[in-house]
Amino acid sequence: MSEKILRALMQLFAIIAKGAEQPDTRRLVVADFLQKYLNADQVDNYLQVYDSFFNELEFGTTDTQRRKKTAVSSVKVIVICNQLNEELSPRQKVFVLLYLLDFLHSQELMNEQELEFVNTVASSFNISEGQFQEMLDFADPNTDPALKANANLLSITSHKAATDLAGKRLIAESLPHPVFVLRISSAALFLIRFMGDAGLTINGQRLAKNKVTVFAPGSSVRGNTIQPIFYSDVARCFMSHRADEAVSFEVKDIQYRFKSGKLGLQTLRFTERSGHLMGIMGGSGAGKSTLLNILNGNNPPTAGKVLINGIDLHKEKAQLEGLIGFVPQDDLLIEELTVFENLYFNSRLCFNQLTEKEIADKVLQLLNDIGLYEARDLKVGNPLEKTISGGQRKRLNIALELIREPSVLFLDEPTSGLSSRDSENIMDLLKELSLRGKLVFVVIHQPSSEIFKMFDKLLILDVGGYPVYLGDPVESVIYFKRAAAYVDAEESECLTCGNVNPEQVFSILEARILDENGNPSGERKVLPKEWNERYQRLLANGKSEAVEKTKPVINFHKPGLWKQFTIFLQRDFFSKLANTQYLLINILEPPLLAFILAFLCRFSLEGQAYTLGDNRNIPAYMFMCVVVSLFIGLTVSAEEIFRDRKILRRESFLNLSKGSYLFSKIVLLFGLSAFQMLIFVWIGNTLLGIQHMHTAYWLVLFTSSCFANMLGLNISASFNSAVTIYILIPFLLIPQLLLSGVIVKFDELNPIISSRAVVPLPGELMTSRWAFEALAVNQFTRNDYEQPLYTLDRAVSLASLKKSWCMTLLNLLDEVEHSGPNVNSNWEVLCNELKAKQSQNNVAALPSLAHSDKATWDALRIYLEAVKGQGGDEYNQAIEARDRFFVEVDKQPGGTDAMNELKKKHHNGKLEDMARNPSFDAPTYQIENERLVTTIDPIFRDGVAESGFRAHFLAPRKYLLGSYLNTFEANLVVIWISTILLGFALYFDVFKRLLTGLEIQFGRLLGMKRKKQIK
Amino acid sequence: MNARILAPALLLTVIACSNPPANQEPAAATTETAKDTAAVEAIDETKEFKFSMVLADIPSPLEIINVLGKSHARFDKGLTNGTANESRYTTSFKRGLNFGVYAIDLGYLAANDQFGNIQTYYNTTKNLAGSLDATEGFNKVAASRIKNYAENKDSVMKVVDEFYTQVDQYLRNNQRLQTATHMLVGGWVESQYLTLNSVKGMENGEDLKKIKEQIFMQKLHLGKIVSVLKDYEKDKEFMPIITEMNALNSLYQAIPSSASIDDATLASLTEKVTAVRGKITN
Repeated sequence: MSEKILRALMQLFAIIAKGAEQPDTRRLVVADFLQKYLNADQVDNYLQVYDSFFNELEFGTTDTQRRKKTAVSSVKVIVICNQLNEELSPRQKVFVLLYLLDFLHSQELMNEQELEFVNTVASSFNISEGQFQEMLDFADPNTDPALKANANLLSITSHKAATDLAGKRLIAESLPHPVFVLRISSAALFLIRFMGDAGLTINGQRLAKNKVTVFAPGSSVRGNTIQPIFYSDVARCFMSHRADEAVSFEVKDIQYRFKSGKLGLQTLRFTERSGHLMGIMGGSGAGKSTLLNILNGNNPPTAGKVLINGIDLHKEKAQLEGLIGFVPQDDLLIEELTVFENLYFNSRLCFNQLTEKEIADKVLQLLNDIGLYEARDLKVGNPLEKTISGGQRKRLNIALELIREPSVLFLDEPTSGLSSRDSENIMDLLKELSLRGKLVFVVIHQPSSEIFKMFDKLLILDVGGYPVYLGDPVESVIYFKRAAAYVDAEESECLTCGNVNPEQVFSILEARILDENGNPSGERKVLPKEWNERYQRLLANGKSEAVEKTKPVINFHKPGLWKQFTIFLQRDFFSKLANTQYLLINILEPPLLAFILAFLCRFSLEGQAYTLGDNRNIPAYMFMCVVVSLFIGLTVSAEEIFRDRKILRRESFLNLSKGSYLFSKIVLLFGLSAFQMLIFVWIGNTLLGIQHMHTAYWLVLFTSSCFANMLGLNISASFNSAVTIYILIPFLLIPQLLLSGVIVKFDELNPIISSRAVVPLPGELMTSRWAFEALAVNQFTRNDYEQPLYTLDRAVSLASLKKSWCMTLLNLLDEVEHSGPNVNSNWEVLCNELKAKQSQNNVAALPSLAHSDKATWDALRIYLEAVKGQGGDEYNQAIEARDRFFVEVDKQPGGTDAMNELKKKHHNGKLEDMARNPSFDAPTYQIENERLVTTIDPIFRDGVAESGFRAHFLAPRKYLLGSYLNTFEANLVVIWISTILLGFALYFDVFKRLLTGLEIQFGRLLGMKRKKQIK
Repeated sequence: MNARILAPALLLTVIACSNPPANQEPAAATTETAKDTAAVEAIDETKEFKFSMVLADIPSPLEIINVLGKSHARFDKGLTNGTANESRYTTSFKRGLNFGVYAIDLGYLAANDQFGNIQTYYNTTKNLAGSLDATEGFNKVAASRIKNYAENKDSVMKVVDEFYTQVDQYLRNNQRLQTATHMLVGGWVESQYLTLNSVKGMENGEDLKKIKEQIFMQKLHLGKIVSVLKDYEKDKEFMPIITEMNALNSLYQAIPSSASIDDATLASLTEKVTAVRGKITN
């Protein structure tokens, strides 16, 4: 009792006594009263206080005077009470009122004046009249509360006496006399009154007959004949449950064995019903998290089962979807969004049946309930940049689950890292939930005494997964003390302050044997197994609870796949929008890079104006564009999934669609890529004067950027740390650079890999090569100048090559003639080439190549000359056609000069060098793989049918399934196909599995090595 | 000279001089008429024979350039055809003509020790050869040789002469007579243009005398060229040039002797040659 209350009481007593007829008797009563609660010194002290107050007051002798004074004193009372109102909590006010009543009842009757007086006090304390009347009746020693049954009254009786009492009832076996409980809703406490004489204690203090005592949370009524009656048992009776929300949670002999074979959880069995708060405690390595993951449905037990209302949790998961809530220790918040937004988007994923407004209202309501309403528009931030406090974060995390109102809620260490006030707040919240009918399981570490007492049941696990206690928390202290044969085993709480010390339990549990020096050694006095056996015996004596069998109502309506997709998209979009740094970098990066690139590449000849035609850096620019697009695409996406991994785990727990999530990410990233590449192309191409090709460039860069996005997402989903991901990026990009065909030509690589006829295999795998080739081919063949000329130039080139081909073969024929009739490689090449190109060389019939002899050689010579002649004719025709074109051009206004202007503006010389690859040193045709190959004029030669889709670098068309496809479109399609394949890989976690497999193999290798070393 | 001895002598010279690469058939052995497709240039052995015969003893136009170089005639860079004009030669006709022009310019530069510009002109000539599909000639003359001998006049001259000849031979041997003719015309006109414009204001002396002798000799050469050009009169593109060449020929044929070349003659020749050259390089 605090001094304030005592002083207030003294004042009030003085006022009452003053108006009484025999003030001295009253003084005796006050002394008596004080003695009940205080020690001798304090009694004297406060009596003096009382006396001083008493003497201050003046009351008249006549009736009128007295009445006047009473009126004045009433005013005084009100003044005192108002003061007290401000200083006392509702609970304390009830206490004061009780003491007053107790005081007044210490004499037999209360007179009218006194009644009025108490009434005044009650009303100024803002206690409703009805409630006050109930209190009055309840506290009146002359009335039997049973006769005045009301909604706030609970009778606790034994079975036999139950029949004739109305109203709420709680059965306590072998209770000798009834106990009545009155609920004071305004103060959230109960008043208790025992109708019998002796035998019951409350919190260690003897319950006197007819004396009204306060029944606070955490208290229990005990007796020799009865099982303890706990506060929560009483509180539960006042809760109205809906029958369809009742859930019973049965754990039937579950056991869990790790993959290594070790037992993680020993056989455990219990049943719990809704409306309970169960705590799970244990030292490190006891198996708490393992147990939690089994109970919440994540991991199935290796033996036994978990039933909810008779439905197997692990085998028939679908039926119970949404019933269970799980709040892990990790933060599941999206940092960039506000408190409201986090909860809002989460709720939209759970309540498909509500409109957006309804959901928003629900969210605000919940935020209000848990005290986060004022913080609703604050950004969540991260633990390093705190915008909201740790306690608020934790509450928000819990709110994410709460909004669904799951009937069963699991929390993993919700109070870790919080101040004691915050911890209590959270536990209060959880307790309230349990009182409202939820079943709540909490894994907790080092709870304070207050919190410890809040639990209805406590499960303690010892190292190795052994359950060693299941029951009332406060009882656990007694249980362990008894087991350790403590002298004061029956004392669970401190007698003075009511404090329970949970540490006592663990110090007994984990007590170590002392060695010869008296220091604790590493060995335990009592092994977990032994505690477990003791526990089994305890279980055997326990009672079994009734089990619900009806299917519970679930408040969880998952939206469909498409809706989930839109919600994910919105959430991600807003979160990105709110992250200013991210936005700035990703939007400014492309234009900046484009500007730098184009600016540096803008070469012009000395003293001359800039023209595209003379810019020697155009191929380099194109290559860098591709590199930039890949790089940007990769870095933007590399961390995406990694950042969300905790949230993903939760969402898989809720069985939300992974596909929708991935698809939303993809859409967002692709959109970003499109935008970035648009700016990039616009700035870069404009600066360098590349005209009329913006769309084509954008298409190519967008495609390759999307590919990089997909690749990045795959990495993001496969690795454990952000650092690893970023280290990987250069390893992915460097091959793309080298094998693009630009830095190192494909025919100049290491001879083992390089090839002239087709792009070597490593080059086929590089997106950079496909993208650059598309850009280059497009730029060369489709620019405004070359477009009308292309076919003409092509005809000339092909005819010229034909002539060279003939001459080379004629040379070969000479060599064959010199070396004699034996079949050698030259002859092979000759045959292969002639057969391959037979259809094109249709001017004469190909002689039979069956034998390598003089006759064949002569015939071949004639044939080849004929073909060469055909080539010559084709060449002349082609040249003539081309000349005609230019003659026509000359006749146009502007003539050749205008054409040349056009050429300078659209046709780049350096690119032409690359595309035509003229060679003055080497022979046109060379031998490779018993065929003739050339690297000249790649841009005019189509891919050959016999190579299938594979063609040489910069081929303008590729052959596929009987028709020729333009390289530009074909290459884009190839890149998109690879992007889609990566998408599938992402969905099926292909890379992650590969990695895990590799890790296991590697681990085994190391393990074996280590074993060998130890041996 | 006695025509009866001349013809077989020339024929022998032709056979002796024309050394086709080993795997090329001599044009005379070609009898197949299967190639009678609608080609602009049908393989006409008569034409070819005539071409070879007629032009067999015309020296390379570079010869006169050599003489010019050895003399003290003033060098004028402005006389050469600017390399920037290359982009204007879009038809094979123009390309052929100007290939000859640039090759002669290259010789002119080399003969006058103007090594700084040699690489550019070499490149231009090479490009034109490429677009004429006549690079085989260049293949035999490695580009590095130009670079290496850049500072040595005689070597460079030798290289230029070599590739000019190679290209010419290649064209002739591969039924590219028309292009060869273009080349010849362009080269010859350019050589005359350079010579005539260089002698302006030159003092009378040994040098001028030698040059005048060279100019007089062109009378013979031009006659032969014009006779070959008769076969190309049907060519619309070629026709204007041929007309000019014919007019020029009449001027040349009117010169009685090298000594009789006086300033007036030089002036009229220069004017005409410049006009033709202008048409070629335009």
